[in-house]
Amino acid sequence: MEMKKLVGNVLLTAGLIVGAITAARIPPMWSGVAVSLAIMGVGIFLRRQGEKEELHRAAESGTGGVKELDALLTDAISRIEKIMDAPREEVVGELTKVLEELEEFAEKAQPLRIEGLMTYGNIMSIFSRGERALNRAWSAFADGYEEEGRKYLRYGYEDLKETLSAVRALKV
Amino acid sequence: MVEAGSRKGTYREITPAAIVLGVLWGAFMAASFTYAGMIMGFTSGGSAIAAIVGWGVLRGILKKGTIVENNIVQTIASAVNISVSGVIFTIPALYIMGLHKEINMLYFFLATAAGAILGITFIIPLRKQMIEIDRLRFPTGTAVATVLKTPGSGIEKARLLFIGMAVSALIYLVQQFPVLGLPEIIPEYVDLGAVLHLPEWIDFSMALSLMVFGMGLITGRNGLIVLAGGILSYYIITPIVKALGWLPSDVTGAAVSGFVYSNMTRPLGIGMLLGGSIAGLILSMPVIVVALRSIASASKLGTGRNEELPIKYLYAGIALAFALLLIITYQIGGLSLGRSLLTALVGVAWIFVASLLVAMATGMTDWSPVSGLSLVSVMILLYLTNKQVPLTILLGATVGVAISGAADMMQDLKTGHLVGGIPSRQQKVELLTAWIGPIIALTVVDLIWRAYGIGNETVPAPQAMALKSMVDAILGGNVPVDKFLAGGILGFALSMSGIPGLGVLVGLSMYLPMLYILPYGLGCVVHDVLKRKRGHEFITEKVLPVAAGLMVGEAAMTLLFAVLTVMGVLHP
Repeated sequence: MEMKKLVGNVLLTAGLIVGAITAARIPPMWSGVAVSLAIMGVGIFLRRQGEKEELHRAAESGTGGVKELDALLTDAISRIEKIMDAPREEVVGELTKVLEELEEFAEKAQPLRIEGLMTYGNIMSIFSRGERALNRAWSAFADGYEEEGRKYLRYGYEDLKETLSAVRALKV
Repeated sequence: MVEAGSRKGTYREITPAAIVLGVLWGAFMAASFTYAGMIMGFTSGGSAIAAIVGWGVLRGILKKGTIVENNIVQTIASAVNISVSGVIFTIPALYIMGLHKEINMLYFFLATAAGAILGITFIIPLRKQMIEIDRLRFPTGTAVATVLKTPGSGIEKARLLFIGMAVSALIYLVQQFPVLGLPEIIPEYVDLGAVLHLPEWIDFSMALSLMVFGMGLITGRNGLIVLAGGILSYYIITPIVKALGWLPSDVTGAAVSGFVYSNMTRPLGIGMLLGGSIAGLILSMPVIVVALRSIASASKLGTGRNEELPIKYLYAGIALAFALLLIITYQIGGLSLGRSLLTALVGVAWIFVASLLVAMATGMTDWSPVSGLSLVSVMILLYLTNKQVPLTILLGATVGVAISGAADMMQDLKTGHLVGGIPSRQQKVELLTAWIGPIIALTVVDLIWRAYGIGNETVPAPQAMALKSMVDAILGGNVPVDKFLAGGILGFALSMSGIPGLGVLVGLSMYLPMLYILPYGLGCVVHDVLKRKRGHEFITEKVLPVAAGLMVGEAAMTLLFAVLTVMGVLHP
């Protein structure tokens, strides 16, 4: 873990412990709470900075950030393209794998919050709409409603492509 | 287990069969849990059981059910059932105090209906934020989705789910032997502190609940913060407070832990929950704006995919609930119009904050801090209503129904997301059926009152008694406002850390008894270790079905015992 973030986490934890103990007294020891808030404040500042730097480093090295998200989405999209006209049983199996990959995307996209909540919110909003469409496609195929399944497979595919464009537009 | 043959026609989702089954099963659970809850002191959501019953009827009998249709069944059933907890926590307190005759039954219904409407309408923008953008886990919602998807998921996943269910149900059944008049074989909890010869003031007891362990297994890393907070609360703060001599001299031995919990860490935890969620709300504002914009622009989607409930429902729901609260406050409280307006306004705003808090807490961990929020609600409402107890408790019922409904709806919407249900359809059926639950619960409470009385040996109504104690404590000026404030400041700061919901998670860990934190934390640790060693796929393919089974098995037995209690077979 990056040093700034580590120090930030330690200070945050220490501040919380001091704050919780002093606040627990009856009545609370307000001076202790104030000191703890100061410690926590420094900790929060350092950990947020550290996190931002970590995200940028990961993006530059290609081990995380936008490049990794791009790769995950590209792979999911190409998998979907291959099953667009495949038999139902095959689609369910492959879609299961695609959906697991998308869960990984959602997890790895979390640090993008640092780049701005509006941007992150926009990306995840489109992505989740597509994910839900693919979930519906999975259910419909599993239930034997092929027409509905194909319709939502197409919706999910389009939404993932839109998400990919939004991810590529990021400057991380 | 993908079925052979292709089905034609519209994909079955909202169907008469789903609505009738959902309402009937929900009503059955609501009546059972109302009665059992007033005796045993707890209720259950019942979503997972409704999903299993749904499969039995839709596929087993009608031979045509679909995953999303069954999702509607469990959504309606849990919507009808969930308001029970909001009612039995509050309304019986009026009966115990002999104040119920002061209020017309119609107002009971209006107050709880207002709660049911508000709880649902407020989660319209929060759904997008919490489920789609923040990606909260909602362990119960995830478990129910696993149950719903079982017929299409393959034999291996179904086998794991049923193994989990069987083990969990069996263990729970064996634990209940004493209730059945049989010798105890497996206790409900173990005192690890005594086994390890720790000092008796260290609370190291662990509930042997596979359901709680399963919740932790699904939650994963987020729950580790709850475990860490529990350790801070029970194994750092308690010894230090004791060493510093901050305890009354008559509090010694095993009483130390209980005293610290009741008077120090629990109120701090409630404060942290509030401070943390307010900070979360502020930080999430840009995301909520995105969510609202996205709902507003959904109708402009070129593909005809308008799957969001229009924003006007949110405004209409708030306006209607506000009007109901205003009428109730003005008519019952005899307050001036200005004060009635203020009460209704603050009431609606508070329900929004409380719904947000409960939805966040359940989303991150599956725990719902309803009793702590009720304490704060009663405190606020007593002040607003000039300490009018009947009106306060009635409005408390509104809050209780709203927040339990909001948490349940969010769990259902998470399930919906995972199975591809259309949110607007789930929200519509919930809006159309959620008001049924309060009528059932209120009717059962009144019948129980006429038959046995309430607050006696036969019907102890522990939650309502707790509320009565709360009201007495607040009227006596015995509220730890300073602890709420200190906790609120710390929780606010924690949530600004960049770790989403940190203040809420730590607050929750101080609020919960260690008895449940330990098995829950153990589940989280197992999840994290397995994820590191075996990868994400192993979690999805193996761990999730087992964990869902563990939760469903114990939940099913809880319902069975509730029904047996109602039938008079068991006398807990």
